[in-house]
Amino acid sequence: VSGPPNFDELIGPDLPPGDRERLRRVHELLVAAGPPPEMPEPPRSRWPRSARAGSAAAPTIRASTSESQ
Amino acid sequence: VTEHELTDSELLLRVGNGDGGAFEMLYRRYARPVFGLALRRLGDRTRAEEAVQETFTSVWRSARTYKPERGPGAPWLYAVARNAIVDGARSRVDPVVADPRDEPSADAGPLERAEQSWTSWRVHRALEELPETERVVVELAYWKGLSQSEIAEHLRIPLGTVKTRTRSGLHRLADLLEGEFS
Repeated sequence: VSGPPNFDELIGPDLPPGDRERLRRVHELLVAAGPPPEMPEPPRSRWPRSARAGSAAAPTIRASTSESQ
Repeated sequence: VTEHELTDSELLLRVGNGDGGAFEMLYRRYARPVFGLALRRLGDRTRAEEAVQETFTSVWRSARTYKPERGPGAPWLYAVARNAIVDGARSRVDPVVADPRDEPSADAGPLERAEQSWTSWRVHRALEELPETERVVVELAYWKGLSQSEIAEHLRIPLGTVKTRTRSGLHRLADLLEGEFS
């Protein structure tokens, strides 16, 4: 890994100054935050039993919400 | 209402009423930020995974105490995660508690470490909201050190598409970070 990207090269020259400053703040936050960790699949067997039971409804919720997109 | 249109506050209120689907949505948004926070504090992947479980167990049990009028969901979840991580470490009589390490820099003071943890939390949380196509190019640029041309080659997409997705991803992150996840 060769360090953070050069902001000006990443964004290019044609953004309005306001947008540019806005994206520069995001750029600085990304650099400060560092990479998110790679994460294994969650071992759901250790969730609270009531949450495991309730989350069985999740696919139904997702299906109904995706239809509304 | 799509999943992404539900705020953290709304999800927490639903979890407080025993909605397992909302719990799963919240997990998808926050699992990586919690894992990252735990990993920085504990320095061990297995224990960080345990801390994620402990955090979400706490969220499930205590979501009914969340009051949206007192503030957005992200800081509440951050506090629950920090408490779960510290409690978990204490229960193992862990030296990490005596010398908590938020951050790789040995020179950082407690305030800087706290600020760094919060910044990482916010940014990693926001990344979870990006469309996969935008998140990938942002991650490759910032944390794999690839140039835009290298990303195009790596993903086998036109350079212009990489540039468009990068800008779009950064704009979206700006919106999310300015809104601070109500």
